[in-house]
Amino acid sequence: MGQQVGQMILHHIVNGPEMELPWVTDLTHTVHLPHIPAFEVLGIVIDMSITRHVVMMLLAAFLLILMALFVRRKIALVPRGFTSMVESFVLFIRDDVAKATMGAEAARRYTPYLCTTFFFILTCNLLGLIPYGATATSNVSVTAALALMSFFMIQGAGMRKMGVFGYFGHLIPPGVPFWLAPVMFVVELMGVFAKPFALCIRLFANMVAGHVVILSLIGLVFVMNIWVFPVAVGFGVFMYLLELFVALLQAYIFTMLTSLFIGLLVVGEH
Amino acid sequence: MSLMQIDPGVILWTLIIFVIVVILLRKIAWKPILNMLDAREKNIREAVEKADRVQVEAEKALAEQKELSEKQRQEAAEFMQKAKEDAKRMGDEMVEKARREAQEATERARRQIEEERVKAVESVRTHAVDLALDAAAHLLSKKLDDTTNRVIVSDYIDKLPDNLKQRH
Repeated sequence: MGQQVGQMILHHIVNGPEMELPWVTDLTHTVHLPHIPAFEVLGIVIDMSITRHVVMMLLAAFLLILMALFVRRKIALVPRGFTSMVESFVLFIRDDVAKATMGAEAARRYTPYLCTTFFFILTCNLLGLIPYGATATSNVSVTAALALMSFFMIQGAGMRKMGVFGYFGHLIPPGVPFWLAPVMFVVELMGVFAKPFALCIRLFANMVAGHVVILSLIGLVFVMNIWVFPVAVGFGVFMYLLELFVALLQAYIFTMLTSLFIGLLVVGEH
Repeated sequence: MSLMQIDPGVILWTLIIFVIVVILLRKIAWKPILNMLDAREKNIREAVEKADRVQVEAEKALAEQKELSEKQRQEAAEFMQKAKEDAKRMGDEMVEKARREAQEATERARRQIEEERVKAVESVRTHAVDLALDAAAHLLSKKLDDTTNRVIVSDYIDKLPDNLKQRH
């Protein structure tokens, strides 16, 4: 039984070519998503099939564009309702994330990107908490892609600020003895890749963890006894609420760290 | 179906979707919102500055107004004072003039009375002399040594006014 529960948990978290939908009158409520034949580029097999997480991301993108179109019509000097909520997030990202880490001038350039990062991750996180939904951000490929985008933004910002040569020059901190320079270069270069790697793993792990805990609590009912359900459901609800908070927190952390890494290169006293 | 499995297809999908969202949202939402936030901040800053300026102006205007009204009050007081003084002076002058005129009139009347009196005395004297001469002539035409006649003349003279008596 424990084995089956483990399979069930894994099945719920990982990506897959089918989705469960409430209005599909099949016994399993399952719908199979379109399969696109894989192709090979530079020895890498790329399977662009629409999977569960891709659907959730498309849904998130669709919702965000819908939100943007709605907000755009309601922009006013005196904000109201939903627009003022979106606005307060934008204001927070601009003032307390971007300006705080990279100064007012650079903040103007990178705030739109940071806003999108925040809202996209937040939406993906929250969609994972809806029944029948799946958490795209609990897929390491998705978080890797997002971290890759951050990586490009961070390095692009650095090169924009210091020039391509200046950028590579900053990898050797000033004042380092010449015999130490190669070592420092390697260490700094590792740091360059470690930052987005950490972003990727942090988001992925956090989103997986919450779901694993909730599903494990529910799994207790099947593994142990039906009568543990009050405890399981009680803790499950608690974890769900915690997940709501984590969804927001991780979106914020991802955005904040991206901004901070950009700031380190843009403000750079090197 | 492993948790840590890297799927290039999903990475590509994520990049495509994310880049599209970044571009669209930047254009549709973030730029207008950020511009509006700037406009709002500018608006608020200007409003505050304007309020400060207006207050300073209002205070200045109030001070000016106070000063002006004070000046006007002072002027009015001075004017009243002057008018009072003028009225008093004019009144005094008028009283003085009236008094002088009355005095002059009295003087004139007295002089006139005096003249009249002198004229009257003159005329009386003339008449008296005539009468005396008449009486004398009358007596002379009769008898003068008669005692009775003496009495008559004496009585006549007694009846004359005093100053006429002194002269004769």
